[in-house]
Amino acid sequence: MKRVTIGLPIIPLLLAASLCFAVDPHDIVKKGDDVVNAPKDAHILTTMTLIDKNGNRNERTSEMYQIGTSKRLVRFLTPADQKGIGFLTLPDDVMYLYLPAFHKVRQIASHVKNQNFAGTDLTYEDLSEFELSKAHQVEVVEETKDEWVIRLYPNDGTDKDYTHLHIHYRKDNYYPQKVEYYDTSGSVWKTIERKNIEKIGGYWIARELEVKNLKKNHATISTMDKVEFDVGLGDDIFTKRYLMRTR
Amino acid sequence: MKNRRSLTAVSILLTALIVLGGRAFAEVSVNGSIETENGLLFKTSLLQNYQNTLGIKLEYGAEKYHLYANPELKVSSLSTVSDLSELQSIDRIAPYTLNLKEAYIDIYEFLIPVLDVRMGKQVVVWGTADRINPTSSFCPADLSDLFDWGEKLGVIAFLMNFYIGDIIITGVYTPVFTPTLLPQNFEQMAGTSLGAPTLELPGQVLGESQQVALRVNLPISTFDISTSYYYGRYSIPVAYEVWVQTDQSIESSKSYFPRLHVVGADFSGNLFDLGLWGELGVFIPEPYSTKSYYNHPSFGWIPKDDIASTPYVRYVLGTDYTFKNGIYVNFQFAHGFDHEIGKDLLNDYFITRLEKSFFDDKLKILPLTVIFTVSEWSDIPNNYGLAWVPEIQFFPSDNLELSTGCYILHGSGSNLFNNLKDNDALFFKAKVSF
Repeated sequence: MKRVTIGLPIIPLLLAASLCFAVDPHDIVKKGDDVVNAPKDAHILTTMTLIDKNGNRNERTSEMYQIGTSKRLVRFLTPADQKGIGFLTLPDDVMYLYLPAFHKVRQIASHVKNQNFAGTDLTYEDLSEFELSKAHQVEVVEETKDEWVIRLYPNDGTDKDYTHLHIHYRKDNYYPQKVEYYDTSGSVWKTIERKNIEKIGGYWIARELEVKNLKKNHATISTMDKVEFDVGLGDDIFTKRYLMRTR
Repeated sequence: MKNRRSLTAVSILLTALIVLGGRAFAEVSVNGSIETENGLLFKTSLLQNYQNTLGIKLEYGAEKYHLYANPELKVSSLSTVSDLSELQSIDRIAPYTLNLKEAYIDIYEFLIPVLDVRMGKQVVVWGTADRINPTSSFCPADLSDLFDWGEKLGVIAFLMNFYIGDIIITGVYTPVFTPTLLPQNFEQMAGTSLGAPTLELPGQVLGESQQVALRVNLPISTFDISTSYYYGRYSIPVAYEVWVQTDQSIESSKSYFPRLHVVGADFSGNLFDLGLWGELGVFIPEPYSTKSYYNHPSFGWIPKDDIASTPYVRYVLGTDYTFKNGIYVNFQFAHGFDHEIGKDLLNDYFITRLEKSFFDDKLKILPLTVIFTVSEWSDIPNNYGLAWVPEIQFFPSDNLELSTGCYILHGSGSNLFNNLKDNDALFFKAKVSF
């Protein structure tokens, strides 16, 4: 009898929960990917501010080209000692790095992918990630009035610098506005927050990206200075040929 | 004279940039660096490499073309004054060199969409190994700083890159011959005095001085593969006539730059999480005669003739890995270095580098930059050399790099590091980029 009195109030709660999580989490992640990758192509100029634990700031500028969901090229424009360093992501996990000082393009080995890119808090992996839904198993963690929080576990056999992610998706447009990286001890060690999310040319984009490494107490704030969508970029940009070109 | 020529070349380039139009010139980007380098030999307290370098990088890029120039002014703080009259000369009080390292024009999609060309003085680097590139013969080595190996001198050349899908075909041609820049103590490095050496440069006619090279590069799975061919000359002089005294010292020698073919292949990529690369060059010298004269106490000078034409192979295999704690390890095995010519003169080198960064990459420690060489495997204790270059690099802010470390040289027998073992030194460098 006692069990019944306890169980009765639980039933509506479970029902409510199942109704709340009626949305397929995989569908949410997929829609999130689709929103982020919606433009046919993009050309974005960015100012990155690196902030260390003492509050010291270093600034660098970069440009990024992207087409579809598998090709991206990032190149530093400043500071002088980083100018021309470029990074190219191609399908099938192929990545190239160009270091102008050595006049050479080199394919990036797997062991480097979880390393930070040129002193920022973004890893090569972060820069090459396009479709989270394809690389993760997902489940709903929490639902609030404005967002879903989805937990993403990397697919078996993939080597990531996190055990799982918590991603906060906006309910109104499925935009992933916050990502939390968990380590093996179950603590959040890195966060990515997308701020100033607005619509440009019919596509949602965050004008500011803040990456925090909580272990190092270091942050990178990226501000989009110029955003162009659907400018008709060709595949020729996403080549070693173009990677070596100085702009 | 050399400085004047370099200055003229810089002036021509600047004029060309101006001629492109006032608006274009306004968009020329000016970057560069100022670097000071100071060294001190442990044993003798001799000051070494006290020099300051100003390097300027001028650049202008447009959709279809790109201009680049890199003049460099190097001023030594070590005077070379030897008599009173030279105190009137700034060249002697603070010797300087002005060098136009590179100055070229890129034209993209030249005539056809799949063709890019580069014309002018340029560094053409081939091969995928880390700084030791047996296939990279087109540009001569800059051996002025032995511990900065892998540096190349620019040559005036015409380079074409054809892009056919993922395949890149590179052809490069130069009508002129440029020899290697040797270190100031090259006789000590060679382990012998060369007496009174004379040198014959190739004639300045096309048939004598021109060089050509071809390379095909394509990606296969997680690897980039290349094959290459070079026809030119050794850029390091080879003695073809040597006069040897009774005590085996060289009285005099004559050297030149023999013709050479190099067939090469290289790969780079990753396997099982490891970075992996390899590079091989088959050196095929055109036959050239050598004459040695040995001074016999009784019979006087006895000649010995020989024909040198034996092909030989230089190769490099390397791997690198970054551990999860950020420690980076790089290991290479090389059979032969740039300064070693001929099958019998190639040594084996084991090269390691270990790096670990701290404080958000502001501090980098390189405790294990080591080169170990064996010149005779059957008697290693008497035929080995070791160079250990521990270094600390500090990056207090963007564009600023400070580093200090030392060269520890040790060995036995006749090899590069043993020949230089009295040159253990402390160094300090500071570099600001702008």
